[in-house]
Amino acid sequence: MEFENKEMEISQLPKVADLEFKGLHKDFLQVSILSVIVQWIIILAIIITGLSFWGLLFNLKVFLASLGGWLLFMGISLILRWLGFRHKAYALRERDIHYKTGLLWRSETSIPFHRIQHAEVSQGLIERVFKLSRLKVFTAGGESSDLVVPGLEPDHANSLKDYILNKSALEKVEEAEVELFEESHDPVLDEIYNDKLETEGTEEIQSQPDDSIGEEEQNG
Amino acid sequence: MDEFSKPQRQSPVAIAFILLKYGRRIFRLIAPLLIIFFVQRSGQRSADYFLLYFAGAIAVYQLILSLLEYFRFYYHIQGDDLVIQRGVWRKKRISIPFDRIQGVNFEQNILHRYLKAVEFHVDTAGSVNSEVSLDALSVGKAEKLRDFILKNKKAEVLEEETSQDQVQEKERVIFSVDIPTLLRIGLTANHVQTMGIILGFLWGIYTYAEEIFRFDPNDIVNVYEQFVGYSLIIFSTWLIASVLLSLVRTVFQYYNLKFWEYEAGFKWVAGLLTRQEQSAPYEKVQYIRWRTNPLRRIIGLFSLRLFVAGSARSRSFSDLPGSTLEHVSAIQKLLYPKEWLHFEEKNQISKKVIGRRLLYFGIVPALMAGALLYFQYQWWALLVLLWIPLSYLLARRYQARWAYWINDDMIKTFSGVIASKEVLLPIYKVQAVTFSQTPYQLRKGLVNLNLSTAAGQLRIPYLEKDRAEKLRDDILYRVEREQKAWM
Repeated sequence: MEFENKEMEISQLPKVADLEFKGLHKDFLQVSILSVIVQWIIILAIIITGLSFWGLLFNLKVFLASLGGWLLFMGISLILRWLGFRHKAYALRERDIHYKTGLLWRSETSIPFHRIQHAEVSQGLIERVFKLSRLKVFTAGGESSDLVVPGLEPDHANSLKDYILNKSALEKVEEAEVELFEESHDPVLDEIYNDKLETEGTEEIQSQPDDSIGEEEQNG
Repeated sequence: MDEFSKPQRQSPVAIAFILLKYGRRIFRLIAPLLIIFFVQRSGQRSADYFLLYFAGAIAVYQLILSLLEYFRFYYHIQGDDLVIQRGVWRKKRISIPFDRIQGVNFEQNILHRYLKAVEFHVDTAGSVNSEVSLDALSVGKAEKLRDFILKNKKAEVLEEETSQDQVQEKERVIFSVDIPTLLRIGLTANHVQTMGIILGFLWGIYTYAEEIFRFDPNDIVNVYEQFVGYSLIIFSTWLIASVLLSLVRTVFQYYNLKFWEYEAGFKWVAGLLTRQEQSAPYEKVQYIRWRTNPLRRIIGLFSLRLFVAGSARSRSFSDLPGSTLEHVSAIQKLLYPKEWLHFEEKNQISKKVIGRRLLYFGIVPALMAGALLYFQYQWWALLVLLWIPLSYLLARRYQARWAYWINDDMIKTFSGVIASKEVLLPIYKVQAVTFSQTPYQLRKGLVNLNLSTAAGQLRIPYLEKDRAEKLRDDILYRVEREQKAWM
């Protein structure tokens, strides 16, 4: 489709703020709450390990205090997650996708389709139980500009992905081919060699001392 | 090119660099083992020679592996691909299409120079793991290989865009740094920062002096404390040391800096002991930034940085001092020949940022420091509170100076409290637009606007919401209308 190239007044531009955002599937609230609970159970396990390491597990006062603290913070994060659910929403236009999230700290990301490098649909363990998927959209802008829409029905997620990929006119960048030729059949040696590759990979990255011009400016 | 058509090893001098790397790696691996060994010995426990043998075995194994690495490493050119074959236990073949190569960089440390070789890096658009580097190639060969890669890469682009007769060797130095300029750059560096580094270093020594040298540094400090006059001497020594350190750092890093344009982009080279070289094709440059501090502004010098899409490696370089505003605008014209570089309306961020910065950088730290210092210095600690009015002035200056401009093609920002920083970004390089709001900003209807590009982010803080929304609509419209590829 060709764009007409006439100048537009900014006041006539399509407005993101006027978009109707669509909320996530209602079951995603349960997914989200369950995953918070799983996180906090892991934290509880760490606390218990810590307490027994310091020999405080059977000290009733300490135990109750930590349990109380744990319950309090888990409660707070559950409430935040619950209230935050209805602030998660997405919207599509002909040429871009938008997602907003956050209860106290809000954020809203917009990505034009033809800046999208890659899109995929994935499913976590809890999501699988509730038959929900998430759509992930990647750009060349790095992590800060990636967009994830969770809480979608798998069919819907897939059709969204197809829609986006059709729209993104970007030619596929060929990945450098890495072909592996098996020569050694010794798994132990292979492992050693892989470890070595990994250490070598990180070794060579040196951070260059920044030029010493004024960094007096505080960030924030 | 026949010279590179057959798989070949690197220059034999590469063995020297491989051994050097081996030495460094083995030291890191074995040092802890040796420390354990000697500590145990001094502890009168029967020496655990097993550890020593174990360390030795690792050392020998790694040495053989490193040497084999050299003999099993081949590179050649096949069609339009650079092919690397490597691997000791498991053979790996990596082929990199010229198209994917973002740039070819040379690095030379003092040993390279002595052996007339360079370390050869190939930057690709991808993760760090897909980058390839050769430890050592002779200078002549490296240049041939680079020219071959860049020429064939360019040929493909040129076939589409321009006729062959326009292909000419075009190399023009845009700016270079001579010794007097280098000294000026060093003298006008941020000495406050260097002083901080020195202070940190001395503090580290002070803290550990007792353990390392078995003496109490307080003995010396006590002597000095009796003479207030000494503090003046200490301060001036500190200042002079900082200036010297900045100077030395500058000379080592930027000695003989040259920044020039070639057919497809920019290249620069600099360094005293380690020569660094980097190239940035025009279309890979996402945005540019130039900075200066009050001293350098007086002598008209700026630090220029090109933000290049691609590897983390190419992103981390390129803060080049020694350019003037004329150089910066010449580079702008080369990078953006068709874009509109004229801006009209100057826009500012919300005044509400002043109060927030006063709170975060002024009141909160001053009260905390005051409370801590009160225990030691009693009422003298209240002097810390003077930081509050000062930080208020700084916050006002921050808001007053922060500005942005937007036209049909470009966004420009200016910021900085004492130093200044300007950024110029073509709108079509934007990958994503993000709003973020803290609870305070949410209440006050303010927004931070983040523009992500393939080489980093540009952030405009504390915008009034309706302004931010207009800006977002405008930017998205221009990105979506633009057919030009962002790289």
